Amino acid sequence: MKIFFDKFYQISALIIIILPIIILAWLIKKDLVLDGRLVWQSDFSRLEPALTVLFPESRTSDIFRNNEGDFYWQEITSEPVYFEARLPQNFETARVELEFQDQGRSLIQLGLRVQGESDWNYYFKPLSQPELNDLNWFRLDYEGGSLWQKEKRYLAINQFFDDWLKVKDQIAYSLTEARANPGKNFLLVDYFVPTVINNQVNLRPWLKGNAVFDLTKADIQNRKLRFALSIPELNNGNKSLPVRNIKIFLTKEPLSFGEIISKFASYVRNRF
Amino acid sequence: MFEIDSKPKNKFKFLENFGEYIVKISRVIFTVSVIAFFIYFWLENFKTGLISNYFDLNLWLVLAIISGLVVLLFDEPQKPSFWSHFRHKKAVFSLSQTIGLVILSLIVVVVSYIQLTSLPTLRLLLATAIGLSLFLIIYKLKQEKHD
Repeated sequence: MKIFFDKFYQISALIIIILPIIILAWLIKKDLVLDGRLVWQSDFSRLEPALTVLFPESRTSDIFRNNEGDFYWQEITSEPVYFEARLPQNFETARVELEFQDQGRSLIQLGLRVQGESDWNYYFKPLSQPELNDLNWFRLDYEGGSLWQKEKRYLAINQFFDDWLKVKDQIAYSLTEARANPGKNFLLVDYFVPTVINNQVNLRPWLKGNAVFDLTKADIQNRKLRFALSIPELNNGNKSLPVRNIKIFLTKEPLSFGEIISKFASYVRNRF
Repeated sequence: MFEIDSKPKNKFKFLENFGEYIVKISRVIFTVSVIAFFIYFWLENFKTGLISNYFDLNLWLVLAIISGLVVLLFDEPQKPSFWSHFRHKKAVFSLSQTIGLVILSLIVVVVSYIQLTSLPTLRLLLATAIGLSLFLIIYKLKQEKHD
């Protein structure tokens, strides 16, 4: 029995000593984001180290939990509100997904803080744009946004891009431009119409909106990206917008072994 | 008759060996988790988020506290106790050296406390631990020379 416990002790001691080294190696691998894809997510149930809650507090409510305990949400009472995401590496694009409870009637914009001369520089993209949500043109979604056709001509986005030269004079890049020019039969925007998550009777639906940002011009301070949420409607009267589940999909080129070594060397050089 | 007696004895022996194993392994867990905590903590300060983005650093502290308690409560003193190292007939330091060492340790505590702004809840504890460690290391080195 004693021999068994002695052997068992030796093996378990070895595992305990090696474990922190294995965990550290795993953490470094995670931090380098070798495959070039990283997802930060906050469902408001607890504080996330890499993603802040919405701030300032004066413009948001407390965090609530629904009766079934399925999800948490927070209400935005006035705008703009902000949140930040910590970047372990430099990334090229960020796709931000946000769920909100609305009928698609409010203009909701998400902005990324970008470099500029003034203190407050945000590049805004719509998360929900009522005018576009109501537009009764045929819509084709693709990874860069959506194509709207006055008359249905293309069934797939590839067909449209193959025909680009033929139709380029008929393309508008904003709704205002499309309305001002009757000859514009297509509207190409980097806007994704929010999708309905649940649509139960007697319940206001939760919608999922998303926006994609190029991070080349992003103003990154202390390795943090800052986003602003703007809902102009909240400034008129006692309205609020419930939000939940923030997800940020960050992408960059995958790293090779050689790049890891040179990255590490340059990091150490800069540090010391 | 023989079988009736032997079973409780074996069971007791098993528990004794198991208890000994738990105490021995707790000693290893305590040492490893304290060292891991400080290394991880240093790395986190070196590059913010390297550890905390994916791992809760408090895990090492919890392990250290639990295993430390096990060792403290159940470990039998087989070796000279920790404090016996400091009981010497001849003084290791002169009075002026002792005052100098205390002042140096206090300076280290204050500097560490100021530097550890990112950890408001732990900074006092850590700064004290750093100062105390410095004091003990210098004391031990001097003592070995003295012996």
